[in-house]
Amino acid sequence: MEEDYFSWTEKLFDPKQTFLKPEALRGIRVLDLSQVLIGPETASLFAEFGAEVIKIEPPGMGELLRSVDIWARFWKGHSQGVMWVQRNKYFFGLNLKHPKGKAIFYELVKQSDIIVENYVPGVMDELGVGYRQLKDINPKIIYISISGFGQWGERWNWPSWDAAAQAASGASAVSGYEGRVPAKLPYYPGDMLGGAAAFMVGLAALYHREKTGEGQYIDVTQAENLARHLSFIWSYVAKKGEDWKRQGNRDASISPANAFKSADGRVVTITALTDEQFKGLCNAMGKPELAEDERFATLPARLKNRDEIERIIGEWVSARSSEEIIQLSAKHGFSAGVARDGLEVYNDEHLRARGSVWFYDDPMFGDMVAAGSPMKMSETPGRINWSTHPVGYHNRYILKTLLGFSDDEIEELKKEGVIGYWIDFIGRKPPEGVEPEKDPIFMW
Amino acid sequence: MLMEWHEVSKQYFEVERARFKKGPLEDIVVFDISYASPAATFASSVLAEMGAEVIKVEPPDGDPLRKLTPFGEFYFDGTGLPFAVEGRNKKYMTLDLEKEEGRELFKQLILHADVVIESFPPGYADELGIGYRQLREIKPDIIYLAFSAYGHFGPKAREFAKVPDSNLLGVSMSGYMMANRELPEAGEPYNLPTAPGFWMATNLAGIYGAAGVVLALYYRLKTGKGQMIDVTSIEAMNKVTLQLIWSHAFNEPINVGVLPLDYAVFPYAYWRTKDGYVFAAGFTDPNFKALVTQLGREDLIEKYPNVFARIKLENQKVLYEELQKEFEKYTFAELVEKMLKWRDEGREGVAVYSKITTPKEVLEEGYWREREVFREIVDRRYGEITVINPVWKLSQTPLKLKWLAKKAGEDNYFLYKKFLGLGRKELGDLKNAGII
Repeated sequence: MEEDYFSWTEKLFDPKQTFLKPEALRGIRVLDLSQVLIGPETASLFAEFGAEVIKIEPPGMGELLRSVDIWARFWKGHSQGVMWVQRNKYFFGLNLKHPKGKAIFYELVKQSDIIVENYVPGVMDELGVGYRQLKDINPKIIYISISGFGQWGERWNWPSWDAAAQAASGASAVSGYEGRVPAKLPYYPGDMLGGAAAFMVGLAALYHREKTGEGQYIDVTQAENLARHLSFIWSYVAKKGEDWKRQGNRDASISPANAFKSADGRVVTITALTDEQFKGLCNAMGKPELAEDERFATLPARLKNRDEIERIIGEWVSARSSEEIIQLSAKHGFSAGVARDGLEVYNDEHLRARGSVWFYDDPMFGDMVAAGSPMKMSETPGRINWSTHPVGYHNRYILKTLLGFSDDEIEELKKEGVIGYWIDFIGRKPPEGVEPEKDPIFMW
Repeated sequence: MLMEWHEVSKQYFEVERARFKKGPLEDIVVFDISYASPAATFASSVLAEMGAEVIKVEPPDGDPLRKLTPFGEFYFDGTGLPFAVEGRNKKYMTLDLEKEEGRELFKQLILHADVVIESFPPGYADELGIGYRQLREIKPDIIYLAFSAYGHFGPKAREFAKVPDSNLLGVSMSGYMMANRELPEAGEPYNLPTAPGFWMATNLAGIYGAAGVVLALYYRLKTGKGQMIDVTSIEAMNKVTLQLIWSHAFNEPINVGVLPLDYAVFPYAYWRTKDGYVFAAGFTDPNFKALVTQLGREDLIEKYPNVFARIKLENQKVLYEELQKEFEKYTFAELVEKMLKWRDEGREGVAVYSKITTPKEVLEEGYWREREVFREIVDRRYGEITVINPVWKLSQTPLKLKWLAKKAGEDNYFLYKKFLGLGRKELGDLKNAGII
């Protein structure tokens, strides 16, 4: 008798085994020169799967995002944005404008595999740490440049924020409601979606290099990546010759696919993509005859008559609790969700058990949470060990383990302003209760 | 004299020659047996852009995903735009996996595969005898990517196995859409959670899934080992929705439904202008000064002297309205003129303006053309059609757009011959038996 499928997958993916399994990117070193969100997220994804990522920051104030937090609350004195996108990295406070700092950086480049940066195009080149210079130092290097609008082209020197890319790419213009200000989509999708894509193509370059020994240069942009996500919308608009109208919650290509209010006042999303899923929904509603009704029997028909079918569904949802609808979706095989808040997601036992709500002991923040890797890999799962650190926290670790510096030499580098640590400022210094001088990692 | 960076960087990509170069995954064969799954289809689309040979396997009557199309417009022989566009570069085969004989054929095909992508209810492929558990017996180094709504393990996996994944499910259950809503005073439906207007959740699940595949391929190259990858839209969106730490820290939901305002920095918002909408930002002190001075409102500097004063919600509301009065006096071009004048005068601070550009306007802008983000092709199936190109630029192994979706099973003869050596007679029999 074969083992039950779900008992078998529980073992195959068992999160308790994560640290007993190999890391796919062991031995890969990434130098992370980026700041704010998109570059840091890219580098964090490499770190999550086992790469050694060294985040290089200017000594003192470090990077920009350290100053920014939701409602400026600075829990434990740090930015939650920084906590989110600085996973598993080593924090190296290195002055790249100092000739000795640059020399140290070049030595690191020789023993590294990937560079990630997201400054305005040309800044790295001018500083002498662009691809033009680094490919001569290490021809096998994979250099990932991330920007708002690309390294070349008529917008090459445009500065960019996430929302600027949302605005320029059409992502905002298609989101929200007609007649209202278009949606500035939350949680920085220009950055976070772009980071996922930059990681993906960086891996492809790594795969290519493993086979051929050839490094390369990569140009990823916030605006173009969002445009890619708009997919068929471009083809539609070009064919139609008219602009796309904002649809609120309605999915233009599927019916039913919309959000409705339930009896308990929740926003419930319902989608039935196939005729079979639609049949399931009709059965759940106690109206199996609708699935045979020629107005609704096929998706093209449902798209034509969507106002009517979604009115019927809306009425049904308004008389049911969201919980009941979710249960019915599991029984009848249609897609239903509730618009949850962050606390509900945080408390979700299923996501906790899957390691998507990931708990761990953080060296700086103690009891801590993170979002686990979204791709659950049975053989080489991702893992989260720690989050952000004060500026320069791993200076000694890096200089000693990789470059053979001694304590007195490190002291000298500090005096000369080649390396440096945090300054006494919110988002930079250790959280209260952390005593770096007693931490063997800091004191390496 | 050194060449300028934007010129030298363009040379690295040899734009004119890119189509002649090999993609990064050209030695890889992918069988995409997904069914009605935008996420899986996006993943295999991206892998096909990277040069993998992707075989789209459909039941004899086609993948229902073909039926989707915006507003019910534009069907091409029964195939709508989403499938047409994301069916790019794939080869098309039909095979009925619900029939025993179809599964036997699939097990033979698998001997030629590096990657399998599926989207069945968790447990279903296993029941049919073609899940990861069985395929890895036949092909031990197979990489098996599975998309679903709740995943293949965890306490709810069994109970919710039948729930199909969807974009709306991903953005709602992850907590993402809760933050995409206007201030309470906007009234319904504007103050209710709102999904993004494109398939953010399922596409992002596709990207993470494809990234997982490439990661697994890299690991296989080094060790010879395959693996299974389990991806859901909810978890893809959970990764990019920056909310868990807040809940953990304060034991309260993060309450960020504040559009058109912001929860972290301000001014950082969209405003109405004389000719549309604009994004404007100036949240650090010098940038704030630049912004309000350009708009003729130096008086606001004293009232809101630092980032802490400007982030307070009640202050944001006042500031937003005050600035709205100014923005509606100008066109976007006039705002840009102010910004450039400011820069040319060498004054401190940068006010950033970005036009809220509609898709139609984007298609008319030269920037995107030069970067080859779009391609206009004349396709014998789809006529004149504008298609988004691959957008991530790799200098040595560029991604490519080769062709759009073909008919279900259009390449049957070619593929069954190539992989299994079958001829016309055998294919005829399979067709008569309803297998292909």
